[in-house]
Amino acid sequence: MKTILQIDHLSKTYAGGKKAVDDLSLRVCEGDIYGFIGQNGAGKTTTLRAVTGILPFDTGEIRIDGMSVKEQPVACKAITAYIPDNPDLYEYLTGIQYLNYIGDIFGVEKTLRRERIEKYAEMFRIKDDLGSLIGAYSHGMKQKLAVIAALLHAPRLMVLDEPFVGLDPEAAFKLKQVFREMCEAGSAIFFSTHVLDVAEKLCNKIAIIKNGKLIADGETDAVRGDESLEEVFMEVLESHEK
Amino acid sequence: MKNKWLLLTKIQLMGLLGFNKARHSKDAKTVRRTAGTAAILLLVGVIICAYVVFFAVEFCKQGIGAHLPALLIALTSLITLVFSLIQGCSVLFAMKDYDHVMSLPVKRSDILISRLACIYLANIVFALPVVIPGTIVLFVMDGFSLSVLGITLAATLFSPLLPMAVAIALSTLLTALTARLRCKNILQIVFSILLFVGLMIASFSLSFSSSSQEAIDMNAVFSMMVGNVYLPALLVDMTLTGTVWGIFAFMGISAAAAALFVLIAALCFERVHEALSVRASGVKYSAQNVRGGSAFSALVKREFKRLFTASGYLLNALAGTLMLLIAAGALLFLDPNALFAQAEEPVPLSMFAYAGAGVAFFCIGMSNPAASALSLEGKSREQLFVLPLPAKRILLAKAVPTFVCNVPAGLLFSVVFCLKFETDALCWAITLFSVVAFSLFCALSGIFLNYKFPKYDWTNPTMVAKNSIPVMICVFVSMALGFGCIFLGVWKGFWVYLAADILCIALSVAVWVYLSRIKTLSME
Repeated sequence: MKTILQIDHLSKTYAGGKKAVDDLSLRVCEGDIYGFIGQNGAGKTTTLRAVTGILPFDTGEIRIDGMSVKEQPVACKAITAYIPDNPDLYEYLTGIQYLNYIGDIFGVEKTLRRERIEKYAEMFRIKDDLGSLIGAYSHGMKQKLAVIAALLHAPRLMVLDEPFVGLDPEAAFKLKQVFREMCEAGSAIFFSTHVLDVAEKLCNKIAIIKNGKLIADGETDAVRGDESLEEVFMEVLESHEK
Repeated sequence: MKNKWLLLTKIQLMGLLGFNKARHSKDAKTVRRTAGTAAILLLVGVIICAYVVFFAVEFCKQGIGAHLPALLIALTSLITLVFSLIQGCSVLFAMKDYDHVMSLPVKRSDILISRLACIYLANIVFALPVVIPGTIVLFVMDGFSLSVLGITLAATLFSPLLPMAVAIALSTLLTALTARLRCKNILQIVFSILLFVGLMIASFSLSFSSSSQEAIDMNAVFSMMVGNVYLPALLVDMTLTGTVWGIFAFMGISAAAAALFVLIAALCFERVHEALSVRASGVKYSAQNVRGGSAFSALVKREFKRLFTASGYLLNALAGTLMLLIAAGALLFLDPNALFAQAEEPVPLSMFAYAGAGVAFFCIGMSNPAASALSLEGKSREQLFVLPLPAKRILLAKAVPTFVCNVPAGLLFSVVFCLKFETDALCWAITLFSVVAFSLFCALSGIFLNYKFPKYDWTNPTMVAKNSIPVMICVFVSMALGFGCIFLGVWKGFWVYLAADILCIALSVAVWVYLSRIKTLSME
């Protein structure tokens, strides 16, 4: 399997002195749905932001599809989609204006753009609201719009921070379906979550992070063994506290 | 594929003034609010045009019309410099949509250019009603000249670049240096004002030293005046009076400054953003931190806490207040008699005795955090609106910082002014009373206007704090009232201020009554 995301010895210390990520390395390959779990403040969001090129890091290397995030940031971003935990969309735009803007930025061809917007807008039941201002959307609708915008350019790597928060059960189910379809087509998903049930059922690989350090990672079945992911998570955290 | 900086600029422009929102909104209130905004802006534009026409006609009558375009360019550049310094680097860095734009496949230079383009366009929109009517008057009175038109047009289009680049670069440096300090917001404001005063002094000293030998005829005096206002505008003035290369030097310097700024800022964009986003390390909790108090005092404390942690809010609060303090300090070392020592006829100090309150009005109007306090709640406003408190109490708490900041500074300035200008008891009394009455009016009208014209969907708090409609109205009204009182005060000092005070108190009472009738604060 080809490696889509390669993180080697990533470290990041914030200007205030806090070491958020400490020598973290992992690989996400084609077809992987990779769950990234950890407590609040463990360094998940910092890692995701570094991967997407938003946050400069101190040491280490991040490569997307073989390209360095530091050396070729624009090329890396062109094949990546990022959905933050609380997407701050432009509220003065309508849904369709926002999608057109994202389509223009990523250079998505018009016919393809229309096709994908219709497909995903129908799938997430938001088609009728695309003409309305984003400011009038509920949190879940904004999340759905961010997901559609992220899918518009068919990214090779999708990076998501808590993607299921705010989505209704139907939308969450459909998003999981989309994840699987994308992975079958050769893309990869790397997402953080606190919902261990979702990670257990959806992800083929899992990484657990604590205080910026990776304390467990690998195939979900191998990490979990005979126990539930919740039990393993608690055990791993406790063993690293001792 | 379209230029990505153009796409980013387009999206940002769509958010300005709420026109796109009004176009797609089904809410009649939003449409009315945007129409009101447009009408106010149009009115301000018309007033600026009228003032410039009056000024330009007088200028041309004196036979010095050739210097007029350069002086107008100098004035607009100076205003760009002042506003860019006050806005600081938050217009480029530490924006709310930073994560979003940085995750897009666009170059950092494209992001910077798109943001600078928005600031540039805003400055050009301000420069046009100043330069166009002035130039038309010049052509009507002194005759049309294609070369003057070309020079003025080129100078106008290039004029915002240099002051924008210099001001944003300086304020970025300042902000990055103070980012980790606990009182960073206050330090940034104080340093920004000192920076501005320093730039003005440097400009004055340079232009005086270079022109001291020529200051004998009117033309040389007005060239010097252009240089005093904004030194690079001397290059435009030189071209208008015969030295052709001046305009090319002006355009070259302006474009080079902007290009250099984009180049350097693009290299350290993320680092600067990170430095600006850093918060000073917190203090550990102790049981003594648990205190009790009334709901109103809790709201007021929160407003003050917010004042010193949100730079946009603080900028709005302290600019005029600090100007009053600096003016009071400067007055202590100034002999008012020396100002008129070289006048042909003796000028009695009593003529200006009532000007103190007018100057205070002007500065107090610039310090009105109440005019943006509600808008700055942004998306978190629901936390405030669900509180089990009357709307009036919430709104009044937001008006308190304006009153509390302005009254001591205004009174201090007034006391020094009255002492220095040796005013009589009646003038003392009305000056001090006027400062208190106007501060009260500003605080109440600020929160009233913000209640009527809120803007919650901002991406940068400074935009709300400096460029929103309530703030513009407050600044404009206090400028008009301040200047009006200064001019009319020479004629009937006491009565003019008494009338202004009665008007302020009557309007304050009206606002108080209005606020009492608001049942609840709505999310819309």
